[in-house]
Amino acid sequence: MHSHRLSQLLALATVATLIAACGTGASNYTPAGQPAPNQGAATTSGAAATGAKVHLVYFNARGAEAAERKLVDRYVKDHPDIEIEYLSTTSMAGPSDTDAIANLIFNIQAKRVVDVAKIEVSRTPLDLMAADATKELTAIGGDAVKTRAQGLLNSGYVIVNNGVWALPYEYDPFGYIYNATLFKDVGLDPDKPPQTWADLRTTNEAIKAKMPNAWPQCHPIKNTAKTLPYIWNAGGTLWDRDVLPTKALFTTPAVSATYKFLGEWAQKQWINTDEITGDNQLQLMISRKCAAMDTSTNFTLALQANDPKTDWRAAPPPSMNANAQPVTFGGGSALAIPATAAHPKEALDFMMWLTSDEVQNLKFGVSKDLGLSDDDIAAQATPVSKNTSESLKNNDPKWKWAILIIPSRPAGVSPAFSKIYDILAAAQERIIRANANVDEELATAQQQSQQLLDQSIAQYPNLYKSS
Amino acid sequence: MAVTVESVGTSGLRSRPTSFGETLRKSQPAYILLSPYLILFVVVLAYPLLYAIYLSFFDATLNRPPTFVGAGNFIQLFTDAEFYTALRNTFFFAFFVVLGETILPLAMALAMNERLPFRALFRTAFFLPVVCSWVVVSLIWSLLFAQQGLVNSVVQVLGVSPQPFFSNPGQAMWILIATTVWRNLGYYMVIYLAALQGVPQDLYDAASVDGATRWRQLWHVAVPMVRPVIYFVLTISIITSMQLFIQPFIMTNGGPLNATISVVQLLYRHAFVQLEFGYGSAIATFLLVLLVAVALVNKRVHDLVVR
Repeated sequence: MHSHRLSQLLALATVATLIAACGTGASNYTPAGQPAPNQGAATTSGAAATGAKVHLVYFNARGAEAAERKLVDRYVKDHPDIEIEYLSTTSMAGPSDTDAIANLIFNIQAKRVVDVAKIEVSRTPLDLMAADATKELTAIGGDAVKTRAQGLLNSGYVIVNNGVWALPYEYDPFGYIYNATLFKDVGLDPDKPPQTWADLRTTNEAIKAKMPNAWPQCHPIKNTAKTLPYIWNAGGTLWDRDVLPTKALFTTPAVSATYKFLGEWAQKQWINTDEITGDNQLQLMISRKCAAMDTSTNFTLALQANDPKTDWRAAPPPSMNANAQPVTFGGGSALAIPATAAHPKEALDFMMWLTSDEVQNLKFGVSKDLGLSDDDIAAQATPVSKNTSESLKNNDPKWKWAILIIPSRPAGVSPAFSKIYDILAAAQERIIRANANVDEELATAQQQSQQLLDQSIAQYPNLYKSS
Repeated sequence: MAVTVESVGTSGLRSRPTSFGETLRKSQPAYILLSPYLILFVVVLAYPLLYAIYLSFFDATLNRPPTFVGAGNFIQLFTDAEFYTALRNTFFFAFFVVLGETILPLAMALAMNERLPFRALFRTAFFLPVVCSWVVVSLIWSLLFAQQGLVNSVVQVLGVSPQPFFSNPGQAMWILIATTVWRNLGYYMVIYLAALQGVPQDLYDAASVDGATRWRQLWHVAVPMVRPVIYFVLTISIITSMQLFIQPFIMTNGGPLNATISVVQLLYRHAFVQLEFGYGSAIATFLLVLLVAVALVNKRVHDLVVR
């Protein structure tokens, strides 16, 4: 009997220990994972009035861990009335760090406190906005926020319907990355990267003639973002407008010409047959299998670090005709205030600090006193601050090619963006791999995408009414 | 004679049937000890499973109240060409993987059960891939079969032009199958080996006295004796191969031209890339029903054959 009771107690103790181990521990503040208390500035004033520290929750769904942690430490040190709980989520390689963003979304859905969220810039602010999951920033910080947003690269993604829904934070423009040493070896002028499609044809033919086993033009095959600059630089567009489009315009001559141009690369064996991924792009470039690649310009930093003897450079994506003003697709990250923020005012103060020139200089190593390594800095794409970008480009040879200061355009973001992106990417793959009929593919893709746009307009009438 | 622990308990011999309540009371410590698992089972398995089935009847996405759509998601599923591609790929993959994982490890186990020189070394070598994570294995095989990978280097030495393993829809799936079978060979071999070592030596001796060669002993004694284990391997292999995800996610991203997209990967794309939780749940529910059906058929066949 005694042993029976003992075993019962033991079992209870085991269960209790396990359950306790699953807890979040004692805390004197409202932690993430708890329901949001009274939201808004009133909570803040209450905290300030009682002398308690304001507790911000910073959720990083976009990586660059080292820099974020050091910036958080610096901010807390400089602002003794603030404490920051830093949350991050590991990310698998995937479209726009999808799993990390899904993690954030689930937290918001669960009404957990998140004051500042670092998110992917191109589609996530609009996704969160459409779902009423984020706060409009000028309502918290007034015109100063709009001025700040307008002064940053990639602002087109976050200023929607006369509101500011996030602040751009890191800029990731796409360019034509090329091996200038290889160019020289095959008789091309490394100082004259292809500026037009005609130049590109000449360049690719020259490379193929001298290096028949190389791919002159590496381009992600199932990818819409890397193709968009070619469409724009052909004078075309996929949409009636860059943000919240209502019409899909895939069958226009410029769009058709661009996809036919991609088909031409495949027919002439200029383009890669293996898909380009984050795992193999370095190997393909350093081994000279790829002579050039359409990808992020900060990739030149990784190339230089791994193969310093080769001259790596970047140029704007070639345009269809001469004298065109090139534009590009700019990915990267942004900072938003989720609807579940407990301290929006303080959150915005923190975001304004992070996007200031002073802090962008710290973050990207113009000012060295944050103690970041070169690898830590390179992991962040490039600055959104134009001043920081100019400073790096002009004063640090390492960054000369990584910084590409040309305008970027939003890629037709809408709640249907992800699906339409996939439809176009699949059509592109068929054009490149299976020599599919370009005009038929585009017509089908347009029809499918228009249906999705129409559904999106019907589903989010308020979003479209005010745009 | 079988003697139960209960029959020699403090109460001595018992003839009176125990009530459910009494059994429950007596089993209390066992249930308490099991409770951590049961709690986790409910929280991370049972509840999500039931909720996914529930959600499959709704149009559900981020921060919008789910809308009931009845069988709408399933109608969409059965008219979705991409779903049929994924289903066909998954079956194709599962068929050849199950074949490989059932036969090859058995052959290896039969060999490893013999008194071979360096047997321990072979066993370790065969089991080594099992301790590597799927992600690592997938990355290694991606590099091996890349355009500039080791395999193409060997192929070129042999005078053959480099093979487009990951860009040819006809080749990519075979790489995934080979990767999977290679990774799991050691695991299933160990299971077979354990079963083979339980086969009494007397049976081999008797067969030998009857004039059976070593091959005939293996085929007519060893294999029939491990038949239940073969069915176990078959069942596990079918279930795991139908859940194909990591290999195409890492190695091909479902390509080229959707030649390697699996049902689970399609589910992932819809649920976590396009945030269509309702449609994603419908795919998950379909897969659940499919796996249960396959397992039931497998059990039925097993029962018939064993009987």
